[in-house]
Amino acid sequence: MKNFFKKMKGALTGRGGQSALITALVVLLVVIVNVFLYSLGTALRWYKRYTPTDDLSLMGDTDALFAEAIEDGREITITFCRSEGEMWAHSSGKYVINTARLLQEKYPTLLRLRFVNIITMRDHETEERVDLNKYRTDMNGNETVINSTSVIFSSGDNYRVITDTVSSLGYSDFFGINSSGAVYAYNGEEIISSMMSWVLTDEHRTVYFTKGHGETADVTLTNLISCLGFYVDVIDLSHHSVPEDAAAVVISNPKNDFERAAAGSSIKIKAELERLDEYLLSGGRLLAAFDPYSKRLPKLEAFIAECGIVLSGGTDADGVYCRDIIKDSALSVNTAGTTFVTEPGSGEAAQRLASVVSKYSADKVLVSECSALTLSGGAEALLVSSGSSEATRGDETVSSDGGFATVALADYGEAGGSVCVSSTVLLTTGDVMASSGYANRTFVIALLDELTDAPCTPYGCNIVSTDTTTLQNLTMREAKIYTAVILAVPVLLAVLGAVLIIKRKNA
Amino acid sequence: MLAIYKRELRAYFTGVIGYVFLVIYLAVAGVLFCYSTLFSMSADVTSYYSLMLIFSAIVLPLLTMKSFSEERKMKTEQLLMTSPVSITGMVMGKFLASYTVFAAAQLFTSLYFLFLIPYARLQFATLFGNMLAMLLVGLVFIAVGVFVSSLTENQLSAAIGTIAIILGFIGVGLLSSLLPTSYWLRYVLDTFSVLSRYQSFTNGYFEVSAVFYYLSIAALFIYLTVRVFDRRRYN
Amino acid sequence: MIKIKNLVKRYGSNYALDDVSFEIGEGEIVGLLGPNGAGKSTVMNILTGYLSSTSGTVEINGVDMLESPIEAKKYIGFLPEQPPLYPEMKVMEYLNFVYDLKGTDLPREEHLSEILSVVKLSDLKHRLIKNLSKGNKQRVGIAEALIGDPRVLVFDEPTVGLDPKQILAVRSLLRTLARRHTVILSTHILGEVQAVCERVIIINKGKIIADERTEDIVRTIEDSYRLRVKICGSAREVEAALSKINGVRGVTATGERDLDAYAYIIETESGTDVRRAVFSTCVSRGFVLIGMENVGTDLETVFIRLVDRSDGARTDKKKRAKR
Repeated sequence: MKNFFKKMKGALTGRGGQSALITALVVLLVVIVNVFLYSLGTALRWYKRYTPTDDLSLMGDTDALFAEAIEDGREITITFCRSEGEMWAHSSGKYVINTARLLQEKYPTLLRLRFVNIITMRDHETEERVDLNKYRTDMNGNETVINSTSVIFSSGDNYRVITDTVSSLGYSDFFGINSSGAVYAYNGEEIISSMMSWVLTDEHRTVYFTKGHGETADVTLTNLISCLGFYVDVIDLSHHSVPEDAAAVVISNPKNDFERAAAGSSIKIKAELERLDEYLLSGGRLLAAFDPYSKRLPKLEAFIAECGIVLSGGTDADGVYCRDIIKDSALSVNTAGTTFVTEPGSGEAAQRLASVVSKYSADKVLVSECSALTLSGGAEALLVSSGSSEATRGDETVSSDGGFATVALADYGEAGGSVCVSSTVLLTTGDVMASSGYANRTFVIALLDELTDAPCTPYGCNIVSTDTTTLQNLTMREAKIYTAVILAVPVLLAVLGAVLIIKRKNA
Repeated sequence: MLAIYKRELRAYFTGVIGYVFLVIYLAVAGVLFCYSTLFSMSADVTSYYSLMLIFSAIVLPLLTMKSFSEERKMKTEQLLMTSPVSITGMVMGKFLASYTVFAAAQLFTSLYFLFLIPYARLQFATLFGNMLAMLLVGLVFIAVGVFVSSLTENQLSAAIGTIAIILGFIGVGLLSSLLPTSYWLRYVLDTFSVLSRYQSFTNGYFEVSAVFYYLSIAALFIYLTVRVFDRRRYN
Repeated sequence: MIKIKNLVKRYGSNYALDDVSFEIGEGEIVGLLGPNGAGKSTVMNILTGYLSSTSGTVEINGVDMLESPIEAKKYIGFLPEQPPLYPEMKVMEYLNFVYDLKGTDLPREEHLSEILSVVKLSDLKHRLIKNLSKGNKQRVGIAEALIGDPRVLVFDEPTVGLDPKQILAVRSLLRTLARRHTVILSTHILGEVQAVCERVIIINKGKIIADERTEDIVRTIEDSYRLRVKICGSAREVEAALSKINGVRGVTATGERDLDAYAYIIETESGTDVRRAVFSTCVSRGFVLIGMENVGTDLETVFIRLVDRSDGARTDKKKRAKR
């Protein structure tokens, strides 16, 4: 026995050629054990989650959306350009795959998930060839990018590609981004359900945003419109008329006035407002969102006043000119919590919106008075939104201090056209849409639905706030001080080191 | 082993290299920290640590490049090999000295996150998880560095060789993503991808097999270094 | 104390050491002598455990170097050809490090200051090693070897590169050390062995060609007396006259001049004393003899002869083998 150990020891500490063999064996052993443990660990899920998980459970009202499609036996495929394992390992992709799986479990006959290796173009599980090239042009004929972060929704001949071309991380389209560009929430349930609905619908109309007057289009708003089942496009009213199939026209934050035709000009040369008028008279819908502090736009405002919504203005508490869509604007809308105030009984649309909002954001509805805009004719006030963080149900009111912003709706002509006027603060600021509780979001969805008869309305979806990692109240000055302190350390160390070394040199 | 450890540690700071490494490390870490948190308004721990991983891969060789190369050049290796110290003890002493410097620097930079406490709710669990991952990765990188430096007298070659091997480990991970999931080779490559193992930590998963991986690879390179010396005695 | 048995060190087909064996007892002071490349350093490196032999054993105080290297190394203090110094350390720091490295349990402060005074470096203990002179650096190396008071001291070319004064100092130090330790030193300077060692092992091309007491080595080779004379007169005539003396094997002018006298080395047959004959010759020929002394046997000669002889023996062996 002793001899055997001696021999082994001799071999391990052995001479020349023998130990090379032992070394090779040891290396091989380490490799094998590692691979074994890795595969075992993955299979048996030998890991412990040490960070808190977000609750990504589904909360949206999607059954109604898909009921018909399920009955008809339709099928939707969501294709990921990574393997499922990679999706779970990806820092933002893991949210998306999580929601997709949950949806797939909820609607197993409707939804199927597919994972494709984008380099070999083969399905990861079945090894079949998948032709991704046909998705490189979207259904409108525009080029789309397909890369490993792409998510492709398809059903029958319809398809829709979502590729992150903005952030280097990937899947940012499934997240909400606020005005400073930071991610504030994960919005996957809403996006995925909407896209599923999108590919189930064969025809999609377009919502047009006007241009040429300094308009700004907020990406949160355009994304939301897209989720409702529309294409979003831009139109130059000074050169083109509004197409017949347009779902709506949006004038978003105009800074310059629109044009009316000069008296006596040829009929053929139409001005913008004429074209708009034409469109509305044929049953079109208009949404106009004004920055309360922008300069007066007499022609446009006069055009709108014709249907009963008068945009007068005065000076606010600071003595600055401000339109009446905002009252006491200093605190009018912020991200600290938003409540809704609607005036029931003042109109059908208002009633409908109130019921939708109270259904999905019940604890955020207040009832109060609205008097910001001068409304006449059939115009009705839809919403007053305040900057208070109090809310209640039923009769108990916790009054909102601060101001409020108003949205008004009026009919235009006899063919069913309508005009809706709002403040940009409400619609075109990502921050507002991001405010906790997202009651604003519900309202905006309901408003757009009302305006456009949207094919899809993703109400009540679970929007998971990732806000916990955003720094609050950090001023630039403080940031600079911290940076200085942090960078001072290596500098001091360098000086210290230099001193010590020089001192020692001459010992 | 303790004697060698103490001497090495002291040598880092009586010579230039300890200071150079620390200054570079702290300066870059400071910049990365400020960029990924203060100036991005985020208390997200993982982006900083992901950046630090790449940076460490490049700068750790600086720390280890002289460990054995210089001994060989200056023939002080002879002293160590003829003293009543085992080869393993000698290698471990050097390894631990380098690792101490790295770990101290790393832990110090983690303190920066305390600055963020008044501005956001810091997720300590994620922070510790990432710190642990970083410390484990450091074990591997330094072990590789010590191994390569034992092979050559030239410090520059040692540094370059170490970077090459480390990048090789990282590259393996990229290579594996080209292969289909079911292919067995993919499993093997995935196991050794430093990046993906690291990422599982940053994503919030504490995997025992990952910890074992780091420890075993570090131990393997230390074993190989001991072998190098053993082999040399015969030639 | 030191037992080397059948040591072989082979690099490919080249034998650096070919069956080297010797034993050194406690308290001996032995010189390992040989030309450059003979294998002295190799022997020392294997002896101290730095290298491993291809075959053969090394035993230090009964402990096998291969089986229990750490225990064996505890008995050894080694000063390699290039002292293993860390230039950026201070002397005291370095010695403290070696103290820790060797794991001695002698009282640290006393022991180190004793060593410092032995090597006469007490004043320089806070100096950076790289700022020391070569001689002092060597002393640090010696100090390093002494730490732990090891039973065996191994010095590889300890006086190389030093100036004469330093060499003398080191040699006297070595003699002092020899009283309490077993010392083996290697050198290619024959005078050193003569000055310091009581026993010499001569090694050439990996083989031991002699292993005897220093004084005996002299008598192993045919001894030959040498006389050094200074004679005034014409060099040619003097040389010729001296050569004719009975018992003289060879006369060589050394080239030295002392006014009008030249110096010559006269080599005589063993056992023959030609001094009177030289005197008579000078008188009869009219040369003035101003100096005569017995030079004694020079180890240089002995060495060269030994080396030639062993080479010759080897070539003979090869020739015989070929036949």
